[in-house]
Amino acid sequence: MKKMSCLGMAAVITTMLLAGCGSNQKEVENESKNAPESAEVSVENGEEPEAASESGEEVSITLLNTKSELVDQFEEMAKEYKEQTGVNIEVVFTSDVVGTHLAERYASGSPYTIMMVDRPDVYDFQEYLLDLSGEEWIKDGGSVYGVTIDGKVYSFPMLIESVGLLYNAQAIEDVTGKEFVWSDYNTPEKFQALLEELTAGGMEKPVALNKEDWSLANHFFGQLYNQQGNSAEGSQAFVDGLKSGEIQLMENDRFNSLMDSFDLLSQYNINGADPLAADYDMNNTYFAEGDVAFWYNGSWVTEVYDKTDKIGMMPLPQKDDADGANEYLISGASKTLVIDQKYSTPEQQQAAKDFLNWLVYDEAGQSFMVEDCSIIPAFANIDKKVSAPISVSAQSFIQNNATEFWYQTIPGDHGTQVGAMLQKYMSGNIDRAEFAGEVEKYWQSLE
Amino acid sequence: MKKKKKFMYKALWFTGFAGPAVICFSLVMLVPFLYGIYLTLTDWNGISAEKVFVGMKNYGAIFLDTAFWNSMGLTVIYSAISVVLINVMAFGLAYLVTSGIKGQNFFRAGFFTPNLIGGLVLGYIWQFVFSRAMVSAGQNLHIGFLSSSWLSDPIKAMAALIIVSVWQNSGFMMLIYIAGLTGVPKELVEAGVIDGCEKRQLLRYVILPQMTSSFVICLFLSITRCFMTYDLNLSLTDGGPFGSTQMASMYVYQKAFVSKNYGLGQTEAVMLFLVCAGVSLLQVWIGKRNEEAEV
Repeated sequence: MKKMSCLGMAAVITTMLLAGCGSNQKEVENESKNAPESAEVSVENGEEPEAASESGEEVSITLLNTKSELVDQFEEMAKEYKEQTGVNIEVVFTSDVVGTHLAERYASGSPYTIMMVDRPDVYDFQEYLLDLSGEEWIKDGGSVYGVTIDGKVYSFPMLIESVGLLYNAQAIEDVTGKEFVWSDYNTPEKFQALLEELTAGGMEKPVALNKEDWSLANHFFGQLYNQQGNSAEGSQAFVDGLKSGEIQLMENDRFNSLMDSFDLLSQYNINGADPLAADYDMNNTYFAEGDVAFWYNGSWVTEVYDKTDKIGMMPLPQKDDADGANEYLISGASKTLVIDQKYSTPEQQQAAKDFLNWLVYDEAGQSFMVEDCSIIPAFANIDKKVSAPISVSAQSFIQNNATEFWYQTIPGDHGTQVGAMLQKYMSGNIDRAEFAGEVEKYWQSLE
Repeated sequence: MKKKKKFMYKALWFTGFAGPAVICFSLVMLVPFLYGIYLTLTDWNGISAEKVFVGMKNYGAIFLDTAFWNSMGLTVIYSAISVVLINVMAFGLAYLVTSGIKGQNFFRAGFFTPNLIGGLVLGYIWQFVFSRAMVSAGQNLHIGFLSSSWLSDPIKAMAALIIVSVWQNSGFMMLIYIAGLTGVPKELVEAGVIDGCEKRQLLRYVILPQMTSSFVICLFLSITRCFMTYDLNLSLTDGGPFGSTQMASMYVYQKAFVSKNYGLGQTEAVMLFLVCAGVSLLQVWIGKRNEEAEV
């Protein structure tokens, strides 16, 4: 009997293992704040939808924010929006991978009304999303920057972001003594000469490289897919070629040019002794303090203006300058807003659409995006100017049409898989040919 | 009539006491478990409302997924080393704090504390220790093997995981061993002393045989805990460097949610369950047999 109960216990505890695997509960949520209020409202909506729509005051929607630097701004905006329109927006933040987080929420039947997602997620979740093709903002930039599937627009481009080499001009000028103009250094030879000059002038290692998957694989190595004719078709054709095994990376000019530049940055990397011990926050500090002059990252960086405002962005200098690689900054709508149509009531969907219109056409909405969040808007009708120096720098490329297409439909596991490969290359565990082979194998396995 | 009444009475008592537990258990354990097994028979991507039935295809696909078996092998190695170290450490500590040294209650509390910190927090704290504190100490004192981050080398990162897991779990196991040690009858120990046992002999021939049941429990708990490790794996190494410390639980999660292949991920979870259940049951069975033989 005792033996049996012990075996029983063993079975029970091991069962927990599986349950544990299936339902990972590490979400960061701050729903509890508004919980009682919103619960009440949703019950009301469920029972008497008409009463709710008549009064118009009772509508309550939820919004998922996935940009950690904008948490406070969104909370503040929700309060103002409630005052202005009477619609209650409950803002939730998660730092999880968005697609993963939403898959869990949809599995439990409780997604958000408006969700800020990455572009590939729009394709994954398309069956649940509201068709936004009929909205007014489509003509002002929505059709260009939103995600279009089978002729229908499903997403609202929240912001435009750029990826490239951030430079701290103040730090460079302190060493060289002359004004820094990025276009004087946009070839690998000139760029290396500058790095040498900086090294000689006392800045031991002038470059910071991240070790994160998204930065290495999706942003740095992603240039391989972006700089293919500067069009969606060109990038897609290149990726298809990789999948079918037609493209041999070691014989590809863009690949070799990109890896040459990677080697160059690695050579001057402040984390070079142990590149995988790099820490994002430390890199941020090095860059802000002027310990390094260059940091491969993007226009979302904000915490760098303590010492100087002379900070900007430039494209990564490469040997192969086809497709304007050394002139054009990679830019695109990265985070994008979508509306749920499966679990939200028609009133909520309408309220969500109204909110999007408010962002584009209302003075308060525009100033929330441009002034409070310092994001570069995707809409032509907004003439407010961003003030953060990095955004100003990126916006100047966009206004001069000097932008490179940003291919963002890479698969969800590209980051972890190719990121691991590039980490191996970065730390000297494999050489370029082995790296190329692994990347080819990854793409071919998706076919 | 009377019999029926008695039955009703019993049934009522049973539902009253066991009912809530049975319902909770079914809802959060049995139902998801069975539903999970159903999902292994589909090609669900984790998102779509549609789940296409594919039969046993996923079970075939497991055997082609070499990365899964790598992570499984890694889990076995990690668990084997951790389990041995945890139990040696825990028994040593328990023996120490029951031997009557000064301030032993303070030490008991101290060794147990790491177990009260959640795995995620613990992982982030140790990440700082391994990648910053130790590196800076190593560089200043010129100690070669400390001067680069342990977390950027596959083997050292594994060692780091094992160290933290031993540090976290041995305090808990220590409590069980303390209970076992204090439960050894005094008269047996005294009889041993009178018969001329030395300290080592006393431990080997008198105390250890009396503690078989503690060992069975501790081994069982540490084996299951190690096989299930996810939080520590996520926060300390996040599977890195370059995916070399990604253990089975984490691999399964990635497969299901990141690669969007829920059917296959769930099938691999079932496989992990079978392996883990098999090892645990085998260990309990052997332990029980020894226990009965000793007594």
